[in-house]
Amino acid sequence: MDGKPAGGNLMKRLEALMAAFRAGKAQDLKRLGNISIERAVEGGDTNLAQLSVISYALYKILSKDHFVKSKKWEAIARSINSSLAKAQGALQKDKIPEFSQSIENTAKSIREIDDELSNYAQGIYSKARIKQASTAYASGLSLNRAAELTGADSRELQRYIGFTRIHDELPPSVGISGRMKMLKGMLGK
Amino acid sequence: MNGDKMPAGAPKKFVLDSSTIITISDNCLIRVMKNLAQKENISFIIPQSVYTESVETPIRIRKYELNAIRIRDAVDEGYIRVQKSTPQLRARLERLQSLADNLCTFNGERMRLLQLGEMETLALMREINADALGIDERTTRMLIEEPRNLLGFLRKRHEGKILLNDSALSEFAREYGNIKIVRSAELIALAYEDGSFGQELHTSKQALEAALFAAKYGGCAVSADEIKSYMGQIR
Repeated sequence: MDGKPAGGNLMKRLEALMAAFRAGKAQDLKRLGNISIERAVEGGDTNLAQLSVISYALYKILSKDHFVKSKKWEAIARSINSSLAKAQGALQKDKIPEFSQSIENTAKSIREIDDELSNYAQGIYSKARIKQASTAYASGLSLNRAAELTGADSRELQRYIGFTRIHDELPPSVGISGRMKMLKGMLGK
Repeated sequence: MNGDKMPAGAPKKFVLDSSTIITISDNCLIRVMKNLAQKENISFIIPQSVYTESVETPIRIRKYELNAIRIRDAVDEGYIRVQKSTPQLRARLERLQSLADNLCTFNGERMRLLQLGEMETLALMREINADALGIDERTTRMLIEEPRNLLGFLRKRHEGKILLNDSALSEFAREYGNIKIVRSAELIALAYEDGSFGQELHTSKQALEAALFAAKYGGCAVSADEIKSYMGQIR
């Protein structure tokens, strides 16, 4: 069901995202991002995965004073709210391409404010994609599948995962020594 | 590799997934692969999709260009070979895709675990009767080596009904279950043990341990305990 929204589930998550953003509840957005990515993994739902990335990016933005105290913030928040409302309207009419376009516009607004106000070369939106993709990988998807679902760059994802404890939590049944034994046997050593 | 002495006999064929080649080149160890290929008579092979993902696309991006050049040079020098797609490979890939996409369901819906690139690497393995698969990412490895543990993990992680399609899994296991898997960690360990570090890295225990941890931090699915346990056996 790649690309297909999980109907009511998607609407429920979108409305929760809009309410949390309007109320300025950063932690709710973070929590919503985490739940959404788990559900996106289970249903292979790229739209829900994108909502999870937006939730996480907005959580990061609301957590940073230099964003929310900027003179431009009010206009940007209005633009984000407007894109999200359009996405909601499209979803109510089951117009999925319009929904996706409105979600992409929301992402664009996030990237624009980030480009303007952030001090870092890698933007909040890209980082949010990597973060959510790493959760998708930790949930059981392969590396490239997790990147595909979230739109994250697979190289950046691999590096990010390397610095987490994901691979220490589920070690393989055969370790380096066992594989070396197999390898040497194969090579006739 | 002209003029280099190679062991007699047909070379062992190792197919590499993008995750392994990226870990190796990220850590500037790509030329160690050349030494390994010569010393151990290994032919490293990547599918066209891995070449596209690790060279053709990133070579246009400043941030990744250097790594892409390293891998391209390895291909140009011949110690990593790109296997072009064939109608037979595409047919095998289609069969694998249909199989892999039906391995498990979540609340009755198909749960797709692998992406096309990983599947193409597996299909190529079988198509050319390769001896080993180099893959650093966890899920594909677990699906091949310990699918029941993967299922147990998925069930623990997700609050819903995860079911494994036993007939699809049996077919997958028949076709792909006996693949021998190595990670960049084992390629590094082998290179240390047979002296293939060459001029790329000082041959010392400290360098070996550092290289293994660099692979881990580069995203190779190896645990710190595994590295410590292996290092305990190295004299």
